[in-house]
Amino acid sequence: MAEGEDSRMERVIRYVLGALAVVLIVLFIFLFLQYRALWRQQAINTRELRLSQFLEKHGPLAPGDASAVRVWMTFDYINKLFALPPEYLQDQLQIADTHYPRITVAGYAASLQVLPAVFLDEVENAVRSYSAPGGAATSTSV
Amino acid sequence: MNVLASLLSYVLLYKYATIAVVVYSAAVILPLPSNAMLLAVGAFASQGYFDFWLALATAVGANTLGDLTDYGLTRKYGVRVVRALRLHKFRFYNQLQEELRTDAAITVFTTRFAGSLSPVANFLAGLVGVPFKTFFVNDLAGNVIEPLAALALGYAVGDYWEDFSGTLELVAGIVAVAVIMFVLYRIYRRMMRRYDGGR
Repeated sequence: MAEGEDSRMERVIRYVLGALAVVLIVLFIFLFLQYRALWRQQAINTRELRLSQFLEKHGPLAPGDASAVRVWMTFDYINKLFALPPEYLQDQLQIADTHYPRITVAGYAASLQVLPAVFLDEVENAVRSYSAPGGAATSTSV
Repeated sequence: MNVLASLLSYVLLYKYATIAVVVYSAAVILPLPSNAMLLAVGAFASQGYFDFWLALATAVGANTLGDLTDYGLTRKYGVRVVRALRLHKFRFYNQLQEELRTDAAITVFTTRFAGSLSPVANFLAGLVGVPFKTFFVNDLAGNVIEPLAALALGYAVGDYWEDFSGTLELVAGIVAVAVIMFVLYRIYRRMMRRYDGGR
């Protein structure tokens, strides 16, 4: 009786492990396909995946990619991400907060008592309207 | 904002200190999305905002320290709790204790990938008296792999990390369940073999 229960338990564990293995394989295939899709769109550059150049930094985003800005980002990070001069967003958005640029978009919006999404639009527009000195277009590298 | 977005704000503001606090807290017991956070940090490193190796060292160090906290707590106070609850009177508890001690290295290593449930293994390891060296070496070895994978994936996909965070959490969850099943299956098999041998 006990032996029968043991073997049944063992069978159940085997089935569960098998099912988990299948789900895991499917997920890895899904991840691989997603990765391949980005690869085909040249979103991921093969050069940057070579081991010898693994830690070579990606370049800044172009102002046209302003939709990548999120409310949790700090102005310091946004400046770095788009290679903006430190004072550019401060001037454009008339930011008087002394914590700038070490303050998040959401944090600053809260201090102004405006919705983060509304202020985010203003930040995106400011980034979009930036033109690099000399008119050189900044290109995306990812 | 969700938990991850809030964490990322702190990551951008306080950098490595936030990584250390979040990874340590997740290692001790709190169910925080540390893998998704490390994926984002990998992407930030690709943009030159973080140092990849320093982020990895911080994550591995904090993770190991968190695991050692759990292990140390039960190693020091666990016996009193077991005695107070009279668990040592149960045959199953004593068998489980013996099995975990025998199988310590593989159990400690594999449970590093058990996600939010790995603290349970840390508590048990301290409780059953797994030798410190065995725990530390296997813990450290396992702790290097997971943050390295998350940071490297984040670095490779760069600005597209958000597209991968959901899938990474799902894969980590499935791996965690598979690891727990694997460990339980090993313990079960060994106990059954011993039981059969004793008859």
